[in-house]
Formats: sequence, C-alpha cells, structure tokens
Amino acid sequence: MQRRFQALLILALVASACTQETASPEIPEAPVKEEAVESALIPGSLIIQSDNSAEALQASLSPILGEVSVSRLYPDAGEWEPRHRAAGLDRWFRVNYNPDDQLQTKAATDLSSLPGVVYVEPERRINTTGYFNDPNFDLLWAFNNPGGTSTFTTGIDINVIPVWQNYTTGSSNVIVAVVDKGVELNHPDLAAIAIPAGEKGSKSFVYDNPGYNIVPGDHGTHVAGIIGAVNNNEIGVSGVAGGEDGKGGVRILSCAFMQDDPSDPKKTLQGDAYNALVWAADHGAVICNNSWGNVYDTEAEALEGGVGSVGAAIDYFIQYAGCDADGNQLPDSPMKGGLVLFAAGNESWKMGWPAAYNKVIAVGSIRANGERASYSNYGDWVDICAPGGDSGALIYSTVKGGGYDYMGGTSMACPEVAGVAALLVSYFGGPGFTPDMLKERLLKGANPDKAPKYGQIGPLVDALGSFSYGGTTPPDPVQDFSLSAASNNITVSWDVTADADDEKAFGYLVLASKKASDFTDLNVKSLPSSMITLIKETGTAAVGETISATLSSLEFETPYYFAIIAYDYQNNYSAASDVKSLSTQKNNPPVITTDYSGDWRVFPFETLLAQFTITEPDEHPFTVEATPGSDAFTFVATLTGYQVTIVGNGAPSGDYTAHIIATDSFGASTDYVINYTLAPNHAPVIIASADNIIFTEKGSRVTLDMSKFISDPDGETLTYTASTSSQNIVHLSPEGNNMIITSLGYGLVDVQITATDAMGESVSLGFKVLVRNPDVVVQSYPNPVTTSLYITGPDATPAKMDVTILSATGGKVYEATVQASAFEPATIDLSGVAPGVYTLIVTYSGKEYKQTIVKK
Amino acid sequence: MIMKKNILLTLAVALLPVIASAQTSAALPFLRINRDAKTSAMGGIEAVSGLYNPAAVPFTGSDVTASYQMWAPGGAKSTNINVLGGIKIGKRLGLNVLGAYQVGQGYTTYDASGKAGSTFVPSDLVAGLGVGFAITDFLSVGVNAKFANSTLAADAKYSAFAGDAFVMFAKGGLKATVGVASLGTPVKSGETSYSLPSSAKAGVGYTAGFGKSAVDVAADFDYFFVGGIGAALGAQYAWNDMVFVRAGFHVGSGNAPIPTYASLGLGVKFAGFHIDASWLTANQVLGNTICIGLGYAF
Repeated sequence: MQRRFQALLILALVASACTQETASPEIPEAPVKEEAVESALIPGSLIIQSDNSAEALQASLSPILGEVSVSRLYPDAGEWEPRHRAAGLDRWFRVNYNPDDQLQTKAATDLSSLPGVVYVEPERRINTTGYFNDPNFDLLWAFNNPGGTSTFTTGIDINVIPVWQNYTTGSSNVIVAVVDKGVELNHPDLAAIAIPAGEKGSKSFVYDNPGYNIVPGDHGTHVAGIIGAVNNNEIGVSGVAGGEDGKGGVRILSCAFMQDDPSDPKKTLQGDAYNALVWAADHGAVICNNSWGNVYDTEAEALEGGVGSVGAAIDYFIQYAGCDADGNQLPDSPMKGGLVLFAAGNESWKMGWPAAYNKVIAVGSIRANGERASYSNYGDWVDICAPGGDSGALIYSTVKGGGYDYMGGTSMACPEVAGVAALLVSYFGGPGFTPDMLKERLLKGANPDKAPKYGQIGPLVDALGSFSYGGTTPPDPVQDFSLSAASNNITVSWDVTADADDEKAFGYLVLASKKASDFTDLNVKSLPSSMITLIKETGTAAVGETISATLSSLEFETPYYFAIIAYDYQNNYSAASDVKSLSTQKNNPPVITTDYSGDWRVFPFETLLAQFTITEPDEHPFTVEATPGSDAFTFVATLTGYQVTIVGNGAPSGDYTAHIIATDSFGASTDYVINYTLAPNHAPVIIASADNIIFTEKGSRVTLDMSKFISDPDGETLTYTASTSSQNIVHLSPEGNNMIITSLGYGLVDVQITATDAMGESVSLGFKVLVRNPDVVVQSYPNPVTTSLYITGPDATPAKMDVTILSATGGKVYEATVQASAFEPATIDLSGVAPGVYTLIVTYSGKEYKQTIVKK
Repeated sequence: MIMKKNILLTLAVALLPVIASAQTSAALPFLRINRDAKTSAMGGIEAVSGLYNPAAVPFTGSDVTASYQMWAPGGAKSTNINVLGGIKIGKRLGLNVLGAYQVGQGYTTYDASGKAGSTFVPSDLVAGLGVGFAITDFLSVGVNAKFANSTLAADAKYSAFAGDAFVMFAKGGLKATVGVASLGTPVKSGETSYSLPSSAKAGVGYTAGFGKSAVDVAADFDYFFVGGIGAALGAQYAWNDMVFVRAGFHVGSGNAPIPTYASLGLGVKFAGFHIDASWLTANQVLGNTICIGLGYAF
C-alpha cells in the first residue's frame, strides 16, 4: 500500500481540479482574469503548432521559458507516420516548462510571435463528464482514465461505465465482505450500504476489541468506498457497485480484524482473520475482499510460504457463502458459494500470501499509464490486475471521519475487482450461479492487451468484457444510413442497433471505397486494400439514437461507396448494411476575415491593430504565412485568432503592400492583400497668435486652451511645455490642452509655449505676460540700470510719454518723447550717462511720474 | 615766478580729464554742489570764496562753517552734512578744508524683467584739503585735492581723486580769479570711463562799503569739458557786518552739472559767529533746496 504517497502534491491537484468546474472555459482578454484562467489550465503545459523541429523549437523557447521539454503531441506513428505528416500532425508539440516562472497565458502570448510558431495555446484540463453526480467523480480515473499525459493513458481503467449504462450499477442483494480494518459504517457515502454491527451484521474480530464495536480505520473505509460508495447521492465519490439512485448498490459487511493502535498510530492491533472470513460466509456475503497479506521478512521466505491455516477459512467461504446450513443456496442469495479476492501485496516480490492460494483471485496493481505499479507483487499466480495507483495518480475514496483521501496499492486494486465481481453477481446472479461461473467471466472477460506485456500481474479487469464474455450473437445490422458531403469529407449517420446478448452494438466499421466492387462478397476479416475503414464506437449512445462518423481527406469531387458493419465487444460482426454512394465536393480555400473596417493609413504616432480570423470551410488543416511589406507590419497568431500590427513609425513613410496567405493541407490558398500607407509626420502649427496678458494682481490665474492656438495637421494629441524668462513672475502649468498661467510677482516676462508631437517635432508660441503693480502707472527697469532703461506704460496699446532724466545735481542728462506700452517698453539708452543717482520724470496723459533711478 | 607758473601748468595738465565722446553727463556731479549757505544764497558763486578757493584765503581771512543741507527735494533728494572752511595762516598762507557726507533717497531695485527687489539707500562722500599762497600782496595761487566716493548700489561703488587750481588777483575791493575745477581721475564702469564734472573756471567779485553797510557782488563762469556752461551772479547786502541779505541767480546749460536756479539767503553774525540760510528756487529739481549753516569767521 502506498498510503498518502506524495500527499501534498495530490492535494494540490485536488484543489486545482475542484476549481476547474467553475472556471471559465474561455480565456478572458482582461489581465485581471489571469488567475481565474490559470485554474482551468494544466500548469506549465502549452500546445504549439510550429514549422520548426522539436529541437529547434526547444532552442528558441528556452530563452523565454527557461528549462523546457518539447515533445510531439502526436508521436511517431510508425507505418501511419506518412499519413500523420500529410495531415500536419507532426507539427504539433507539447511544451512543458516550470509554471512558477511564467504565467501560462502570458507565455502563450509571448511565444506567438516567435519565428516558425503558427499557433500557441495553453493546455486546458480535460473536464470529464461525470457519469454520476458525485462531485469528485472526475478524480476517479480508475473508472474512466482521461489519458493525454505521461501519467494517464486512455483505456487503463476498469471499463465500468458501459456496464453502468447497459447492465447494472449494483444490487442490494449482493453483500461484499470487507475483511480489513473497520469500515466507518456511518460514513455519509457508506451509511446506506454498510450493514450495521450486530449479531447478523458487521463485527469486530480484533483481539483487543472483539464484538460489535467496530473501530473505523482509513484502510477498511477506503476499500469499502471503492466497492460500494453510494452513487448519485451528490456527495463524495462513486463506488464500482454503488447503485444509481443515491440509495446505494451492493452492501458492505465489515469484518474488522485489524485496528489502529490508539497508543501508537504506526502500529496495528491484530485480530482473527479466520473467524472474520467464516463470519462473512455465515452472514450473507458472497464476495470477500481481502486487501491484506501475510508478512514475511524476505522475498525468499515468501517464496517458501503458503496459504497456511487461513486456507481452511477461505475454503469455507468459497464453499458455503450464500448457502444454508445444509449447503444449499439460500433463496435470497445471488450465488451458491463465495468468491475470495486477495491483494497480491506491495513488496514488488514474486510471491505473496494468501493471494497466491490457487482458490482465490490474486489482484495485482497497474499504474494509470498502463505499467505495472512499482510496488505490486507479481508472478503467474496473479490472476488479474486493476488500477491501484502509483506516484502521480493514486486512488481517491472514503476514509474515516466522513472524509476522503488518496491511497495506493494492491489494497486498492483488489476492491476494484471485487466491485466488478459484485456487479457481475448483481446482474448474472441467481439460483445456480456459482463462484466458478463468476470467476470465469471475471478473468476471461479481462483485457490482456491493456495489461503490461511482461508485467506478470494478469490481464486488466474489464467490466464490460466480463459482462459481454461468452456472447456469440452479433449486433443487429444497420438498416439504413445517410450521407452528407463537405469538401472532401463525408459524414455517415445511422441509428445504434441492438445486440441480443450485449444490449447494443459496441461499435461500427464504416467502410468506404471508390470501387463498388469492393463491397461484393465482403469479408470483414479480409477487407480490400483499397477500402477505407473508420471505426466508430457506440459509447453512451442508446439503441435507436443516431450517431455519425466522418471520413476525412478523401479525394475531391470523387464518388465513393459506403457500407456499415456493426460489432460487439466480443468481435461478433453483423452483416453489412446496404451500399450507398456519394461524391465528395471541391476543395474550398481558407477564408480570411477581419473585424477592422477602417482605412489602412497609419500616422507615425499611431499603431494600428487589426484582428483577423482565418477559417477553413472544409475543416482542413491550414498554414498561414505573411509577407509584411515593411518592418512596420507584423502578423502573429493569438489565442483567439491572428493579429496584424502596423507601427506608424516602424518604417519610412510610403505605400506598402502586405499579404496574408492561408493555405490548406490540400494546397488551396487565399491571399488577403493589405495595401497600407505609412503617412508622413507633420509638425504642429500655430493657427492663431496669442495676445499678451496683463495681470493687475498677484495670484491671479488665466487658463489658455492651447488647441485654439496650436494644431497638429495629423490630428495627434500634443504635449505642451512652457518656459518663461522669469520664474518669479509667472508660473506655467500645462494640463492636457490647457496652459494655466498664474501671476506670482510684478514684472514683465516673455512666455514661450512649445507643443510637441509624438515624433518630437514641435512649434513654439510666444507672448508676453505683465504682472503690473496697480500702484505703479509708469514703470522703469532695471534699476540700477547699466545700459538701457525700459519704460512701460499701463496699457497694452502704445502711448506717448515725455521722458526727462535729471542728475542728482539737477542737470538734465536726457530728454525725449517716446512711445511705450505695457508690452513694448520705450528703450532709453543710458550708456553715455555717468554712474550716479538720477531722477526719471515721465509725463504721461498729462500727469507727471517721478522715479529715482541709479545708473551703474 | 616762471617756475611757479610751470608748476601750475604741470598740475593743470596732469589733472586734465579724459572725456568720453558719447558722455552726456559728468561722473560724481556732487563734487560741484555748493555746500555753504552764504554762497549758495548768492547763486553758488565760489570762485572768489575762501571756502572753495584756497588762493582766496590769504585775501579773505579765516572762516569755518558747518551746514545742513536738504538738497534737490524735487528730484533725487539727499540730506547733506558739510564742513568746509578757509584758514589763513600768517600773512600769505591759506588752508582750505572740505568734508561732506550725503545720504540719498532710498530707491527700489528692479531686475531686467521689471520685478521689484529690495530698497537701497545711496550715499556720497567728499573730503578735500587745499593750500593757497599769496605770492604778492595782490596775487595768489592755490590748489585743492579731493577724494570723492559714491555708493550707488551694493555692487556699485565709485571713487575718484579730483583737484582744483586757481590764480587770484586782489586789489582793494576787487577780486578776480581763474583756474580749473574738479579735474581728476575718470570713473570707470564696465569698459566705459566717465569724466568728472571738470571745468575751466573764472570769477570776479567786488566789495563796496557805505558807512555801516556794504555790498558784495560776485560772478562765476564755468566751462565744463563735458559740454556746457555754468554762470552765477550773486549779491550780498551787509548791515553793520551783522545782518546779511543775499540773492543770486545761476545759469546752467548743456551738460552743466548744476542747472539754472535762483537763490535767496539771510545771515546774522556776532562776534565772528554767523548763522546763514539759503533757499533755492526756480528749478524743478533744486527748488526748495535749503541750507542752514553755522560758522565762525576770524
């Protein structure tokens, strides 16, 4: 038993799996949904279609994803490889990388633009359709192996679902004894089928705890859940024979002869297995599951071992189970005698006891990928194998405390077989049904092809195989079918036919040929080489339900003849249906469409994104390539289609032509031509001059809408900056298209506002700002003056001023009449005036204004 | 005698100013402010006054005065404190002293963009010393040496040395003098040099007595090398050498540092001490300039 092997990893997988049912199946575009999307994906796994080899692809991915492994999604198919390559299957790869290093959707996006990469998608979890509504049904891979990974292989399961569909889910008159640790009789998933402890029910045979107080143990509870956890009760898990109405199927008799040692959880209290087996035989059980074995110190010791004293108890069960005291079959018993199953053991030895006793069925363990479980004992004494779990994929079932957990081992494989045996007894059982009949059907119906070839653990238990075992009646032939053509694909549809001894046909051979003569004297064992055969399994479809199959890659516009042959699980073939004919159609090229409806003119500041969809009307594989026309054009595959990006400044301006060419696997192609123009950049221009501004107090604010003064011919958004000759007089603050001017101190400044486009081309607009002291009508500056003295008036328009400058001693050193305004000061040249204190007298509008000035 | 003339000529040449061709005003014009109440009341006649012309001291006797002056209230007004005097030593030697400190009106600074800054108070300083010598009983010579400093801004301070030289003739009530005034080193600002308010100067005066009354009449004439002419005419009536009434008129043209104005004044004197006052008018800038002086003549 590989109990709780890699428990943490498994728990993580459980948590992940539990969330996948509620995750969106679509990848949302918004990044905020990234985490929600991740839960629906298989961590660290991408599917890529590429023109490159696996080696070249690995080399190009490593710099982005770190350590990666690249393998073909469709491995080399040997004789079918040429056809796989023709279909493009060799160009699909699975890429595995460390999921801690990259978000999966981001990784997919990053890789989509790599050379040679045609398509990228994160690998999604497979959400199996649970046959029952038990919420953790999807974890029960032993019932329906999802396959698709190195851990799981499709078909490595007990093939029980077809039995549930067509035969039985377990009957309550079948009692399976669980000779093990105690079963938690009141577990929510077991209470309906667990026989209560008592004189006619479950009992404890633990030496220290004999009687009717059964102490539950995880192991016994786990085994019981595999056999009979109630199906369709909307809780927990499903059992192999757990019924279908939520009330349970076969019943469980707990014969507890082991018990966890309360003083030391690592130890097990021993008990009386002999009387446990006998008690089971005497209290209604007809199947006895024994997921236990004798302990030997060495393999050599085991090879020398034997069934020993417990053999008598086993024999007793086989002979008397289901019988009265006289050895006659009880009226309500489904079988005369009992079937005893033992786990082969987990030592990876060539021997295990009592499993090797020839009267019992010894059960070995197979991994989910079809290999022998690493721990499983083996040898020709092993009668049959079943999924028992191993690293990466253990068996999920009930445990004590009302819980559920993973366990692994032949202990888990054994109840898988016991459950199938219980189903067989449920369906075939009745007066005269014996353990030998059951054993034959169980073992001979098992599938040797799916067991490891040299595993020595017997064939893989096959519930359907056991149910259909011995059938010789072929299914009813298909009476009629319809044909429909799409390109070189023809779909055949027909109704599922019944099978007298197997309920319905297991599958159909759909035969096609260009020659009608191929259907003459048809021998299914020796079909003409020119005939195309397609196998279609019936699956869940019921008798009378229409199913269909499509034959692909036929020759175009060519007449084909069709017929259908039904077969059952035992390869009994019906007669062929009537022959019908239909011609294939012409090949249609891929269709390229875009949701972009604008013109293909891109300014340097712009980036044009256009989403493309490429569909293949005939559903043929196709390749896509693009010739960009310039470096500005890129074409990449995305998760939802394809994207064209044209960067306005990616190439010199001019007219260019790009081609997107999609070609299907038969050579039909579509060339989508994009004539695009990279427009030249135009610098922003001044469309109106700005008036000078007068503030008459500090702290005032003016907002200029710069779009009224400066415009960009290309229509792009401009960035504004401003400068001033003095930062102490005004503050300039650009906000979008507005320029906010705030007066700080008195004075006159030159303001320059520069508008710059995305390409860096700019234009500047200049004007003056005067912050005038309202107490000063005429102002002169600078003071002291070195060369030129500037005199301004209070108004924006120039006015006449009489200017006189007198020395400190009253001598006149300057006299003139000038024109000055607030923004156009009169300039007085004082370069010839000696340093000193002077009196400036300005007569303006009839008033005289004096100011002391100093010439340096 | 010839040697003395050579000395004066050499001194005059040494003090000749460098006149900038584009100069429209003289540097340190306060060198030409008339700083006592007597002469300022008489139109600013200085040439024959022993307070300004050391050559006059041997003929006029000693007089020392201190004055308080509110200068140019209509323009870049300043408050001036002045001390000046002529002191006769022996029969032929005279000394001349001058000290003046004036504080101008504070002004607001503005930067090149017109933004107001701090306030600064300019100030000027003049100090001088002269010597006169009567060569004969009616002819004398004299020279003054002066140092002038002007602080216009924290980073604008200017200084210069200046000198006057006179020859004077005195006979009876008549006095006449010629010379040069305010010759000196130029003031340099940046790469430009500006000359002082130098001039060629001439003056004449006459005193006539009428019993207890006396009348003094005097006139000055300046030719300024920066271009411009200055002329002053003044008169004083004295009663019993105790009460004085004065009046004058000054004319300034061209680049003359002192403009045209009229003046009036009064004075009283007792036991050598005198108090004088002057008032200027008829000028936009210098109008209402007042000077009050206290002196001692001996």
